[in-house]
Amino acid sequence: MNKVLNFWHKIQKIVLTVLLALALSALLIVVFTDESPVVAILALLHGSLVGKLNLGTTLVSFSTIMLCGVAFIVATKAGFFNTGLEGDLAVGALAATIVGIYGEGIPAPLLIILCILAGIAAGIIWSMIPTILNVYYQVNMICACYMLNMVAIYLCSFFVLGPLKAPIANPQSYDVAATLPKIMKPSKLSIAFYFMLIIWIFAVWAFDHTTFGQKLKTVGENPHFAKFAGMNPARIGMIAMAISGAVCGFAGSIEIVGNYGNFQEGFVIGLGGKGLLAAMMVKSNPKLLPVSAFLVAMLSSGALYMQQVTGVSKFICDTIAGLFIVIFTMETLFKYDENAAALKLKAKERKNNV
Amino acid sequence: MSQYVVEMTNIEKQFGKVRAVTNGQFNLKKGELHSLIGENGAGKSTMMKLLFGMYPIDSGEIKVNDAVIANNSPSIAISHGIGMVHQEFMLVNELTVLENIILGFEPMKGSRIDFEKARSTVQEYIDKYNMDVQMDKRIDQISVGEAQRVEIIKVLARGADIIILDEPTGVLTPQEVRKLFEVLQNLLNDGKSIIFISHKLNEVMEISDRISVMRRGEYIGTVNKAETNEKELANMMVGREVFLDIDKCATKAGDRVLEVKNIWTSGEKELSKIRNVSFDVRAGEIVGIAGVDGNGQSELAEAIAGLRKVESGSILLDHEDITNKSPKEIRLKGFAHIPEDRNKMGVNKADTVANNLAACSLDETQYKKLNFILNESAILENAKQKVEKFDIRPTDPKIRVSTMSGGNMQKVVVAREVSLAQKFLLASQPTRGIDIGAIEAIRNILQDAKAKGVGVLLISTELEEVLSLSDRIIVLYEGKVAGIMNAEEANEDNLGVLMLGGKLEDTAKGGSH
Repeated sequence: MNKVLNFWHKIQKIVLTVLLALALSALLIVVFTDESPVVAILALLHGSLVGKLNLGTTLVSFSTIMLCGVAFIVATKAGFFNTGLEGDLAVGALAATIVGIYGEGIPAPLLIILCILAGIAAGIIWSMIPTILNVYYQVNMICACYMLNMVAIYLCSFFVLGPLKAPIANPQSYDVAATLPKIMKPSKLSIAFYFMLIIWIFAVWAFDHTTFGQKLKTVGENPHFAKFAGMNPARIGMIAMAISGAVCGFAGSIEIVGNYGNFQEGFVIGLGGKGLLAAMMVKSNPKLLPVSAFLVAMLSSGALYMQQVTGVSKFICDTIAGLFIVIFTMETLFKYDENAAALKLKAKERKNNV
Repeated sequence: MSQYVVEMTNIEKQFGKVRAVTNGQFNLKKGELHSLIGENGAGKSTMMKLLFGMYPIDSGEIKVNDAVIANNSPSIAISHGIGMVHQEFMLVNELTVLENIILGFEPMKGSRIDFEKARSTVQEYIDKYNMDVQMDKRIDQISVGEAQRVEIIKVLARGADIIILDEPTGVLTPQEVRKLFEVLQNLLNDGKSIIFISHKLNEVMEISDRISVMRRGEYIGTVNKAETNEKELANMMVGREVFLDIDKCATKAGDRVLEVKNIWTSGEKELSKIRNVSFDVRAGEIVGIAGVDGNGQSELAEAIAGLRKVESGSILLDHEDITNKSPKEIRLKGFAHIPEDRNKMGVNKADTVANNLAACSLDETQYKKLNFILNESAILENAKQKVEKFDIRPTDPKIRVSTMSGGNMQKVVVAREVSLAQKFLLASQPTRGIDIGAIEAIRNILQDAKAKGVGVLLISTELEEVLSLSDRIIVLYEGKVAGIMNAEEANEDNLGVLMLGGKLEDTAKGGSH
């Protein structure tokens, strides 16, 4: 009963937060543009939800954000703040691209599996660099991850604009030789969407029902106790980071073999940040992750459309996105206050008695 | 004018949903020492914090010197001559004793602090009550006992006639307790009235005129010291009969299970916190380690448990070397450990009782399905058994540990560890900060473990606990073994001397230099 109530309060909080953010956004639009806020916000909704192309594009973005969110949550549960999602994703995408291009001739299903495996492997390796530096040499995790994001992004640029560059005007690589079937044409959404759902469901289940999930939570919640109880916090933390890297690498590889079919220069920029954001908005509660991930995906895919059909610039839209996030992260806003509720009830009772 | 300087009647106080005090009654005569006792969470500190105005009362009446106090606050309480010495001292470490005492109401000479006047006022108190305080030392340079006297002077200097002392002896050695009692006696002789909050019955019996008992936020009764005894008080506190003086069960000491040989280890800040310590523990006996807190007990326990690096020397468990092995390897050899800090190490508060009870054995097949899925029904079943066997409350194994009282939290730790102790149990401060009912239960559990042939090392700063449970007693002073004696030879006096770094010969000669 209490659990249901709690869950309901969380949903209630999210709805109220969205309404407040919408109101503030409307204010911004009124102050800084000549457009009607209603038109602008309707455009945002239309651009992200209406029609196969729009909805599909939102779902593509949603998939990636979900995977990055799951990756972030796995690391967080073990007590690591993994800011390296973007780098892991970038190298995963790069590895999948390389395998996909040079593996031409291999049967398509096998090639796709190889691409994904390459992406996962690359993600793991990339995530292990800051983890090992942190565990054995006490290098700051956040800084190391962040710097390695830069390295990964420029490494990708080097390959995509150099050895892998397709002979066309756009800054992108050759196409990979095999891609996953699309499920919502004309958008780029592929069956990778279902893979994402499976991973998310498994993660939600595994946190609570596996030995490793239990150890992971113990290490994250109280590392002293974990060590005392005979667990090895460093080892469990490293495994968690490896899983985090693997999920990001997987996300990167399906961007290539699922969504785009080639590596578009710079497409990874911002993706890791959005995943991290979605996870933090729901305080790393994997069950609520889809809500925040969908919101973030909507804001990013609807923004372009809003800019096209109204005079509201994308920058205003980004500001609105920022507003949403700030309001979302205000912990105590709309928090259901049990004490206050109990006191109110008591006062009421007293009144009735008198 | 009534005979009471303080009268608290029908006090009620609720924090959120928790009823901290219901039906609180308390009164204080002029010039008496009235003790307020009860288990942890009985509401005694809350009662006195209400008197001192730290929280508003929900209903009831507080009278001081026949004047009803409404809208109480600390400043109003102080103006009525009430002073409180808190459990945690409220002193600024970087300032001197004198500066701390006058902080907030400095005597001024023009725009500058009149230190000379302050010094002479404080000196008066020191002389009058024979307090032994060094005014120019910084707080971080003086002992806990001295800091407590500073707190008392602080309260006096603010004009208090009614002094509340919240668990004042918890942090003191037996010798310092004696000194405190002398000071309190001097205060009483001078006409001050004192409220003494405690859960240590022997101390209460020693210094009180009257004693009030609270249980679960309710007033139970008031008795005159002369007409009661410790047993009756314990019954009033717990609500049933209590047997703290356990009959030591017969010792059948067997083979050596733990051998500590010349170990050295470092603390967080200091090198060589444990210096060349050696001792052994046999199967089926309890060895107690006494000492003032901070003399290396924590480091010794962690070194044995594999949580702290042993720099030299060796530790053998059941004749196998466990020096610097991982906690897991050591546990697999039949070792279990009740850690001194249950909040930090003993439990994962964010998790459920059931999961905490299984946390050390997650890798065992009984808690696993298909080698990676948690066997939740087995975990729950184990928890239900332990909850019943060890009388853990509340009885729902699915509640979070963070919602439990200290005593029940400790029972979770003890239940888990005792079940795992095949050969050896290291019990570090097993009854620190918990109520008397839980203390009784945990002491009995340790006895049972001993009777089953487990070797027990009991580390405790409660001398009475070490004395009542141990077969042999080791005193640790500044990281060294200051003495080892059999339980029959040991008493509070000779242990107290060793705990403070003295030599037993000195006392025999009357402390000659």
